[in-house]
Formats: sequence, structure tokens, C-alpha cells
Amino acid sequence: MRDREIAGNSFFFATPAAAMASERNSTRSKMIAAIKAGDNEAFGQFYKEFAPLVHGILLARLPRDEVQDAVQEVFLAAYRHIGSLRDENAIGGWVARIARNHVVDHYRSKKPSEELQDDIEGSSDRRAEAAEVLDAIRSLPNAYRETLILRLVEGMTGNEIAEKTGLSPDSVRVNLHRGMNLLRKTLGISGAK
Amino acid sequence: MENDYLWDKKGGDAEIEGLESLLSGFKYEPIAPPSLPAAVVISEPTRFPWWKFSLAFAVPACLLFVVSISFWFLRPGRESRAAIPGDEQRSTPNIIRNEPSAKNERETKVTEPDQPVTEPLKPIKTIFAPGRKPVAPRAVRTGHRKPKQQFETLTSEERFAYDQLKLALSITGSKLKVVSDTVNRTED
Repeated sequence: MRDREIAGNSFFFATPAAAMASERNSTRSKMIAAIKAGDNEAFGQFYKEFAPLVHGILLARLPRDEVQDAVQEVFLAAYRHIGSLRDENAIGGWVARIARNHVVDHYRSKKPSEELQDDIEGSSDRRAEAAEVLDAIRSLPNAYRETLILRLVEGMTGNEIAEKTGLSPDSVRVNLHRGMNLLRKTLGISGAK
Repeated sequence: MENDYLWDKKGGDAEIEGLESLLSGFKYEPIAPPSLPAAVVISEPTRFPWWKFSLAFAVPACLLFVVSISFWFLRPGRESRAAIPGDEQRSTPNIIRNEPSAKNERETKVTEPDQPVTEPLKPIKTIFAPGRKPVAPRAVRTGHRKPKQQFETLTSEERFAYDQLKLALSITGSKLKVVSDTVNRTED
């Protein structure tokens, strides 16, 4: 009886998760309106929220030494085209698409460059191992490599990845597990199924 | 579940944690956002210019309409239907054209229209008007009859109507003839 009352109340009162989502959408709408008006602070907030997502997407495709500059370029392009954003709730997927298009433009306009051995903290063995793992992730199919980099490198949870990229949580979960299995096989880890 | 840590970082997975720490050197390092250029104009979404397409179709459609209307009014056979060879012979009767046809000429020679006809006219059998005055046969009549000048002023539409009337009368006449033949045969 008590369960039924609770279930009945859910028709009239929003659940905490729905309320949070509604509040987040409202905040984003205000943020986007402020960006359109040329508000630097709102743009900084937008950058802070989505920079890890853009960085992860670019890291999955571009040489590491070019990723930082590319992130800035992607956000400038996003600012220029913010007027073309129709669904303000899909801003994550919109930015991700701009980042992927930027990668395509990058390889179309430039010759492939040799990747520099960059400055990863730690010993050279550890750096080499990290570079090897990153290359192994980059060799995976697109859907898996983006999701795995966002999870393992950028430290997002599955729900955060789904919310930022606009994918469904189930898709993210499947991509994570299948990508992880493929990575294990690629690296020769015994836990691969 | 074995891979819970992979999904929500709850619990623990040594292998994944090891990968995370190994790859942490590639993680995004927060830096200041790019300064917004002052001169950038934010592009508004452009709607598909349907009006250009409608203009592109409307102009040729209007031209086509005007051309077809002009052609309809200025077509060659509209003003003088008799100008078409063959059509004159078919549609315009000799009476209207005021020209003796070859048949009429032959008939004229045979009947010699310059001299009065001495042969008595035979009455035409009619069933609907028994008391009607007999009419002279056509072959005899054509030689003497003067064409009516008033038909020369007919327009093409009037000529067409005249032809249609003649056709209707001929059909009616043939039907009447069939009826009269039947009646006569019955009477006979």
C-alpha cells in the first residue's frame, strides 16, 4: 500500500533525478543565452564543463602534442556556431560533433606528422608503457576508443559519459565493456573474454 | 558485478585502476579558456530559402501560361477556318462560297439552267405534311437558284454551327426517310 502511494505520488511530484535534470537544463539554457550575448564568464563555464569531453575525443584521434591547441580551436568554432544549436539539451553531442569534424578537417588540411615523445611524468619505462596503452586504445573502433579514453583517461563515470555525449547509458555501458575486452586482447592481458 | 568499477567507479578493480593511473598523464589539464574574439559574429541558423525555389518555378510557369494563351488566341486556324485547304471544301457549302462546284457545273450542263424548265415537277411524298406544297428536286433547283449573299459574311463559328445544323438535319432527314419508307411499304 505504501509502495503504491509512493508510486502514485511520482505522477505528481518529480523525482530527484528528474528535478536535477530539469535544473541542469535550465542552467544550460541560461548559459547558452549568455554565450550568445557574448558573455565571457558563461563561455568560461561552458569551456570548463565540456573541455574534458572535447579533450578526450581529440586525444582519441589526434597526435598528443596537438590536442591542447585543438581544444581551443574547437571551442572557438563552437562559439562562432552557437547560433546553429537547436536543442540546448544536446549541447554535449553538438560539441562532440564539432570536435570530430575538427579532426577530419585537421587530417584533410595537414600532412600526417610524426608524434613527439611528450612529457609524461615518471620514468621512461612508465611513459613508454602509457604510450603503448594509449596507442592500443586508439587502435580500437571509434565508438570504443572514445568511450574508453573518456573513462580511463578523463576519469568520467559511465553516466557522465552518457550525459555529456548524448548517448544512452546502455550504449555507453556496452561500449565500455566491449572496448575493455578488446583492449585486454590487444594488450595481451589475461582477463580478456 | 565484475565490471561495476568500470561503469561507476564503485568497488574496485586493480586492473582498471592500474590503467587509470598509467594513463593519468594524458588527462586534460585545466587551462584558461580562449579569449573570445570581439569581432566574431555569431552565425544564426539559416533557413532553407524555399522562396528562391518558388520563384524559380513561378516565373517559368507564368511564361508558359502566357505563351500558351497567346498561342491559343493567335493560332493560324482560329480567325479563318476556311483558309485551311480541304477544310474549306468540307465545311463550307457551295451556297456560302458562291462558287459552282464541278458537280454543279455538270448538273448545270445537263439541265441547261439558262433555259426554263418545261418538265413538270413531281411532288415529293411526305407523310407528315400531306397538304404541303411540293418542292422541286435539288438537281433541278441548283441550276436556277442564286446563292444567298448573306452567307458570305458568316464567321468561322457561325459556319461551324451551320455545318453542325446541316449534319443534324441530314441525320434527321435520313431517319425520317427510313420511317417514311417503312410506312410506305406498310401502306403498300
